[in-house]
Amino acid sequence: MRNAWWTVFALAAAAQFAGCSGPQSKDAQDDARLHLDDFTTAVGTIPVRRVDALFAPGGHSATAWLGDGTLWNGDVELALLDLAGRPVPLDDGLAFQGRELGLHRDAPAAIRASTSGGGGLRYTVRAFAPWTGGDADSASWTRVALEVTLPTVTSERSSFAVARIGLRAAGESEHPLHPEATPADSFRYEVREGRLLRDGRLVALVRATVVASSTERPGLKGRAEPLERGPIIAPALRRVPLISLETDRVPASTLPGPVLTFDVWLAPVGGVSADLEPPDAALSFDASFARTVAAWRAEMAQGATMEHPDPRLQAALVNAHRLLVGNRERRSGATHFLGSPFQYRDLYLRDGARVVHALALLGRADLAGQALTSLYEFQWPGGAFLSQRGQLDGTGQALWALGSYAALGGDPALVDRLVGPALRGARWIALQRASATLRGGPAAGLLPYADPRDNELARGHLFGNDAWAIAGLEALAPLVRARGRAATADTLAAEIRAYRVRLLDAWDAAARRQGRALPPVLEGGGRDWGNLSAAYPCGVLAADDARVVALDRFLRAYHTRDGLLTYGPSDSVHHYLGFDRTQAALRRGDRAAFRADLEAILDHAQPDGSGFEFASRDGRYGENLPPHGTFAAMFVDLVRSSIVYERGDSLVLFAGAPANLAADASAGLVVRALPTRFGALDLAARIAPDGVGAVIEATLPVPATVAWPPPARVRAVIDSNGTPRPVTDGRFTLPAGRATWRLEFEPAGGGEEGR
Amino acid sequence: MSGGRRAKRSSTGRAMASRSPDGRRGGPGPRARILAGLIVFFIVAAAVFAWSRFMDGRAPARTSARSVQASDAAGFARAGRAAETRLDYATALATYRDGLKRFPNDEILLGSYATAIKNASFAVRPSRGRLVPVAANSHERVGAALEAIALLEAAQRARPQASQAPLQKGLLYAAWGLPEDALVELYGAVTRGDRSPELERTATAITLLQMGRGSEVDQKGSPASR
Repeated sequence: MRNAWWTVFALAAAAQFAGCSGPQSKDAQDDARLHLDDFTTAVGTIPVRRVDALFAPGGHSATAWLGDGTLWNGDVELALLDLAGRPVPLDDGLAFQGRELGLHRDAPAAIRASTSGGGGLRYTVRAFAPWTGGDADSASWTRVALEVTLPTVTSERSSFAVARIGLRAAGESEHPLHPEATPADSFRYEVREGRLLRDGRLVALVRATVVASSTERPGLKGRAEPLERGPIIAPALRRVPLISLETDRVPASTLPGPVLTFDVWLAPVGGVSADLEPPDAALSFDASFARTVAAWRAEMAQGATMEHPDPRLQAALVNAHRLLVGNRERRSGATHFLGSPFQYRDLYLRDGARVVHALALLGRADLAGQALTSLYEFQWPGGAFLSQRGQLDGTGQALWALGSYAALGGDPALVDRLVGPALRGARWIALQRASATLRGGPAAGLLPYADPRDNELARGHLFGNDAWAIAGLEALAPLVRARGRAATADTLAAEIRAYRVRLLDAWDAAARRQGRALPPVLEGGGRDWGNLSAAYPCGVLAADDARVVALDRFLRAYHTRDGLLTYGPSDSVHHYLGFDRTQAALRRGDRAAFRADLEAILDHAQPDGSGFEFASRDGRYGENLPPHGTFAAMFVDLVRSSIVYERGDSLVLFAGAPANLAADASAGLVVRALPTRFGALDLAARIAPDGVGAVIEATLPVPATVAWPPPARVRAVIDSNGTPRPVTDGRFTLPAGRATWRLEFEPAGGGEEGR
Repeated sequence: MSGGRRAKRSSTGRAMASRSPDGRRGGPGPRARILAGLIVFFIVAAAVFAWSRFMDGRAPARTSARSVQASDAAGFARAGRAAETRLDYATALATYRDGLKRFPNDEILLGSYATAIKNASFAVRPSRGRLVPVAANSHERVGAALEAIALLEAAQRARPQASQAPLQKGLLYAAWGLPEDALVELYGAVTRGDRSPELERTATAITLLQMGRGSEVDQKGSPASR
C-alpha cells in the first residue's frame, strides 16, 4: 500500500515537473499557438506608438512591449540590440506581408519582426506572460522566443555575432516605474551562464535552443556569451549590452534562411534569487504558451458571452474583457484590481466604480464583488469614501457601484454587509449638504468644494461630485427598501428629490453666469469631466434634456479632434472621456452620433483594440501607457448598451447595432447569460440568408423594445406560431419569455445612414 | 480567589508529606510522574525557546517597517526628524507612528506625525531620475491617514481637554479635502483654547471656499491642502 502511494506521488511529481499540471486540455495543446494566423487584423487605423501589454492575472508586474521594440516591466528594460548597440526596431508591421497584427485570439501575446538589423539578418520575436491559472505571483514572468534568420550563405563562415541583449533600469519616457521597483540610481550588472544579474538578483535569462534542421530552414546552434568578464556598475538610464548572441560555424549552403533561436525570460519586478529557474523552464516555448492559452480560455469562458458581428469591435471587446478580468494582483491576502498593468497599479474610486459595473455586466459577479470590497476599504471615519485627496465624487461612486453590483446579480450576502457602510456614506452626504445650506451662498445645499488635482483640475464646487452623490443615493434607496427599512428609504427618496432640485437650480444659475451649458465648476473654469456624466450614468438629467444636448453640441464644436474629445490642450485627445456623452446620444436615439463616436474610438485604439487615457497629436503617451482599465470598463458598458440597455421597466435592444447588424450577412449578434437589472438575457440575431429579413431568438426577462438598425426597415414581425406583432414606424416590442421571431423588411430603397 | 488557591496548594503539600512509605515505594507515584513530566516539558520548552531566539537572530529584524526605536518620546521625535533631514520619509513616518503608540500624549510627536502625514512632500521620493510615491498604492496612503486619525483620537481620549489632537485631525482632514469634517475638528480645537494662526487660516479658507468665494482665499492665505 505504501509503495502504491509512493508510486502515485512520484507520478504526480513527474507530471508536475514535465509541466502537465494546470488546466491544459488536449484541444488546447492541439490548437494553441503563437503564430501569425492567430491574430486579428489591427483594430486601430490611426498611427500610434504601439504598446503590447503582456500580463497575467495575479502577477505583481506586467511587461510593456514598447514602440521601440524594448520590453519594460516597470523595473528592468530588456532590449534586443544590433551590433552597434542600438535597439532593433521591432515594429516593422510590413514584415508580415503588409498586415499589421491585432489581437491574439486566446491570450495577451504578440509577435514582432524586423528586417533592419543589418547584414541581411531578420529577427522575429514572440512574447507572452506564462500563466497556469489562478492568482499566482509567478505569473509575472515574461517569456520571449527570438528567432534570427540568416541570409543565404554561399561560402562557409566562421562563428559570428548576430545580436546583443542589453538591460537598463529606466527610460527617458514611456518607462513608468513599478511601485515595488527598488529605489536606486545605479545598478551592478553581471552575467553568469546566460543569467543576467542585477545587484545579485536574476532579472533575465537567455538560453540558446537548437532547432531541428529542415530542408526549408536549416537550423544552427547558437551561443549566448557574456560581453564583459566582470561586473558593470551603470546609472539607471544607461543601457548596458551584456550578452552577445552568436552562432557556430555556418556551412556553405544554397538553402535560404538558416535559423538561430533563443529562449529569453524577463523576471518579475525586483528579480528573483540568482539560482532560481523560471516556472516554465522545463517546457518548450510552444508548450508553455499552450498551457497559458488553456488557462486564459478557462478564465474567459466564465460569465456572460457577447459576440458582436463587427470583427473590429469584437476584437476590442475581447481585449477589454481580458483586461478587466486579468488586470488583478494578489496583495495582503486579497485580490486587488488595477487601473492599468503598468503606471496605475492601483484603483481609485472613480475608476473602480466603473470596473465593478463592467465586471458585473460581464457576468463576473465573483470578481466584481472582490473589486467592490476593496473600494469599501476607502471609507473614512465620518462616512465619506475617499481614495485620493480632494476627490469627493468617491462617496457617490461607492454607493452607485454597490447598487450596480446588487442589480446585476451580485452576492446578496455581500450587499447586506455593505449596505451599512453605504448608509454611513449617505449620512455624510446629508451632513455636508445641511452644513452648506446653513452657510448659504451659491453652493448652498451642495457637497463641499473640492480640489481633485485630476479630471476637472480646478478647485471649486464640481457638478460631477453632486451628480455622482445623487446617483449613489438613487442606487442605495432600493437596496435599503428591499431590506425592510422603508422609513430610511423614504428619507433617502426625499433627500434625492430636494438634492436634484437644488443642484439644477445652482447649475442653471452658474450656466447663466458663465454663458455655457452645464459648466464643470460652479465658480467657473476647469475642464469638462463630471458634467459629462449628468445623463449617464448619473441620471440627474434625461439624455434628451436641452442642457445635455447643448453641452454635447458645445463639446463637439470646440473640444473635439478626430472624433475624440480633447483634454486640456487641443492637441491632446482623450480616449474615454466622451463615453458617457456617447451613452447619452444612444439613449436619445441619436444613432448617427453614437456610431460616429464608436468609429472614432476604434480608429484611435491600439492594434490589439486596447485604449489609452490621453495621447498627444504625435501618438505618444508619455508615462501613461495603454491599456487603461477605465477605457476597458466603459467600452464594455458602451458595447453592451448598443445591444441592450434598461429603460424604465423594460429593455431596449439593438439601439446601437451596426447597419443590418454587419456588412457580412452571415455574421450574427449573440449574447448569452448577459446580466440585466431584470435578470439574464439570451439573444441571437442574424440576417436571413436572402437578406430581406432577419431572425431573432431570445429569452427576455421583461418585454423589450426593438430599434432595428437601419437601413433595413421592419415591415412585419412574426412569431413561431405565425402570429404577427404590431410594428409602428419600424419599431416593435417583444414580450418576456423565450421565443423566435422572423422579421420581414420593407423593400430596399432606404439608406438613412451609412452604418 | 488567590487566597483559596494558596489554601488548596497548602493542603496538597500536607497530604504529600503525611503519605506513608508503603508498597508504592518501588516506583514513582502519579504525582511524582506528573512532576517529572513537567520538568521534561520545561526543559523541552526552554530548548525550543532558545532555538527560536537563535533563529530570530539569523532572520531579519522584525521591528516595524524601518522604524527607529527610542526609549522616550523625545528620542522618537529626534529620530523622526533625523530621518526627515536625510529625506527618508518612510522611516520618519514609521518612527513617529511607533513613538505615538508608546507615548500617545506627547504633543511634539503628535504634531510631527500629523504634519508628516499631511505633508505632500512625504508622498514621493527620488528614484532613477524621477520622483516616485513612497506609498505603493492608495490603500496604503489612505490607510496611513486613517491610522493617524485613530492615533489622534486615542490621544484625544487620553487628554480630552487638550487641543492638539483635534487641531491636527482638522488639519489632516483639510489636507485630504474633507473640509466640513475639518471644520468640526477645528471647532473642537477652538473650544479647547487653541488660537494658532494655522487654525484660523485654514478655517477661514475653508469657509470662503465653501461660500463660493474662493477668489479671496489666495489673498488671505491658502488652506492647508495647498
